Amino acid sequence: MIFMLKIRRLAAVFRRHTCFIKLMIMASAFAANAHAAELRITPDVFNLTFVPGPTQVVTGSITNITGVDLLTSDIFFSLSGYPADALTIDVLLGLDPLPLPDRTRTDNLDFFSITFSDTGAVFAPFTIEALAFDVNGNFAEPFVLNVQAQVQGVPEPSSGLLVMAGLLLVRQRFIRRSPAVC
Amino acid sequence: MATSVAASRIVIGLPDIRRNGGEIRLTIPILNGGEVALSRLLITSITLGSAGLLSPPGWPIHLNTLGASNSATVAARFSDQGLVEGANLLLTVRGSYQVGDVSYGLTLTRFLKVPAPGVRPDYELLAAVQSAMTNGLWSYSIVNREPASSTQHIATFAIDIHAPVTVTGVPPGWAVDTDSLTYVLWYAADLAPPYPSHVAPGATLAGFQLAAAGGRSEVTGSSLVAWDHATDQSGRVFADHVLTPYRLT
Repeated sequence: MIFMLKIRRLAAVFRRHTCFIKLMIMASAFAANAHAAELRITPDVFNLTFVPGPTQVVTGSITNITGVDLLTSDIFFSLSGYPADALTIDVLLGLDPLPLPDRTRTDNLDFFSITFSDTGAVFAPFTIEALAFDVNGNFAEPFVLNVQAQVQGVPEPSSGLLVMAGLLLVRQRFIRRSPAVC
Repeated sequence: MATSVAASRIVIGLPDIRRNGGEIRLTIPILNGGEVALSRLLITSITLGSAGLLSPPGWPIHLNTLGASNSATVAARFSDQGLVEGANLLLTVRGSYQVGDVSYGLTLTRFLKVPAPGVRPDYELLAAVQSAMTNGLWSYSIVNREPASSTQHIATFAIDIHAPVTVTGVPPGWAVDTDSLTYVLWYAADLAPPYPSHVAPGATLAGFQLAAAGGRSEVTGSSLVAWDHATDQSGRVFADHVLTPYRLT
């Protein structure tokens, strides 16, 4: 009985102070955000294929919850962890500065381009580690791009032998079926 | 290939950027915020938008080992011709490093604003060092770019080296001091005024030369120190990079 009375009193207090409690919940939600990643850099793809020659552009979105308005030129990339001679990376983000207002998310941004080296084929998969931070010292969570092995286009010797044998067989049959000229 | 996630915390800090005498001078801090030391850290290029690179004269620059939670600096000079004050330029530093026995590539970037032209600091000598390597011989010439009215005459020229060398060139009136492994210091041998061997404003002096095995270069630091002929005391200083024999690995 006493327990039930306590519950009813608590419910009454809750009804009386609904607005205050809602404000408290909202405030705690904002406080939680302040401790979360303030700058989010999300690439559209995490897997790339090593293709020597052509340039591949890594695109993605940026979520700015740093508390201040930024430009794309206020965000800087550091890229590391890849085979030194395998590729060249050119940062594209910020070359044409775009606004990144606080508490907004911007899609379809060119982050950087990757040109895989023509010389020295790389057949083992590797990674590119990307870290971004802004002019105010806010760091985004690093992300890793996985680069798949280059596909070998050269046929195996045994395949070549089989093709040769097949061609010889066809030639033999063609010669047997050809009528004599004289 | 193994990866080194710890290295992903390597970034460019806030560079010191100065603009005077038609040049932009950068001192670039490279910070290792990871938990693993990066060994054999090499810088293989530095670009600043479309600005023309004046120095260093070649690559690589060895920064050796960059410990965890540690920093190193690298300097570069660019021409400010055609640059607009306040414009954003992308600074890109490329290089490589090792974790364990594995070598990795590195691309670090940061946007910088072109500053307004400033005044040259009082301690800084207006000068230049030119270096070249041909057939295993590293040759240097020094230029005093002070105005004709200046009393700053160049009296010493020092370079850092990391390989065994033989000094094969000393200009007339100059002498040399070296351990043949870590430094070479050429100095004007004059002992009293009017110091005729000092390099006067507007003058150039060549004939500094080294020989070493290997025929491969790296970039190391150099300095010129002037003697102030008005006060008969040590004067302004100029620091830059030069080509030197590649270090022993």
